[in-house]
Amino acid sequence: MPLYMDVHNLLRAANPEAVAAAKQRDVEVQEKYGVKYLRYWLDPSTGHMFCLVEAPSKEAAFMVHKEAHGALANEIYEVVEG
Amino acid sequence: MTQERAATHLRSVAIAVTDYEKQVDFYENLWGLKKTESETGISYFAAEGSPEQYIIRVRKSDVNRIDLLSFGIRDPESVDSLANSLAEDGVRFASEPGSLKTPGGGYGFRFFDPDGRVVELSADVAERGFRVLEPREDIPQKLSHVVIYSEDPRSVMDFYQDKLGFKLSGWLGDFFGFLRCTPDFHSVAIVKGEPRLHHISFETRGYDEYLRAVGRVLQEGLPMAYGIGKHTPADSTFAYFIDPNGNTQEYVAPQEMIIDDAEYSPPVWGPGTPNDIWGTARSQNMPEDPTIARHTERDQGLWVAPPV
Repeated sequence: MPLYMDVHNLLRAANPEAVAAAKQRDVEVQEKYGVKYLRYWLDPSTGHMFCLVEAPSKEAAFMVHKEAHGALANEIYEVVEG
Repeated sequence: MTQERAATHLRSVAIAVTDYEKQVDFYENLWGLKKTESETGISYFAAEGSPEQYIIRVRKSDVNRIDLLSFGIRDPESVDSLANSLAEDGVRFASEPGSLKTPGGGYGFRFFDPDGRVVELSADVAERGFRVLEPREDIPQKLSHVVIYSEDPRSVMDFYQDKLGFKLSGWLGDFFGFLRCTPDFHSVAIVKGEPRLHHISFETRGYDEYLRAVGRVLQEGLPMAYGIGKHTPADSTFAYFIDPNGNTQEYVAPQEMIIDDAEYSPPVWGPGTPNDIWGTARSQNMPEDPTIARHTERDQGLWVAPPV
């Protein structure tokens, strides 16, 4: 399964609790798309977030965010662990 | 307003134009949209990066007008629930809830907002195959937002919030209000002026792609009306162009997303707020003051349902 890192650049009012709630909604809908969100990293001071996700495609990962909460990633990169 | 009765996202903007062929050519061959369906005198355009069936509809007409602002809603039950609620409030309908004949089908209805614009709400519209855009692709990835003029922006802002579940994102003075129905800072904005279209905005993948899109259009020979720059609200980039029918079209890089509605306090930006915080924008044939009339005339479609 490909591994992707999705990047959010301009989040506002992105406190850790609200982000955790949004990530929980990802978990609730991800199975429908064959996706597994693994970990995420947040910089609440600048509104940047990075989500590591296993997905059959970028489009599948996109659809999970769209259905779960609508906060779409600005960029999605296929990555390999170094 | 419960979540079930709230608009979930901006699906599409439908316009009618007098010079149909030039408008179709503009969207298909210059602006970077994909024509997905057409019949006599009507064309549908999708964005490559969006699963939405279409984001723009163009109809041939003898007047220029907004035909429809179309929004998603959660499910057919929510369509019926919201239709009942609007009927109880005395809102005038253009069509009752039923199956939609437009691409992707679905279930929805149409009504008039307080200025007489026709709004469509729909659920269960089939999504289309799409692809996440790659770096350096200079085409729109989705419909970002639509801005409309109203002589009474505050009451229209109240209508969209109270009846359709939009959330307030901020005000520029008392003449320019911003509303969201997703985390994106605005899907709709309302500016004081004679009712008509202010502009339609198309989002690119990022800043590089925004500049590439602007450059591509400039190289094709269409001058930029006002840009490139970045507005204070939403940290929102702008680059405005005038299409063949006088409508303002914008490329925008992704805007701010508001995650915690409870924490967010909608700002009111006062006098002296810079229109362009980068300082790069130059106005060629567009007033910088957003309340001054753009190139379109008063909307000719107010309180008249479009024929399609």
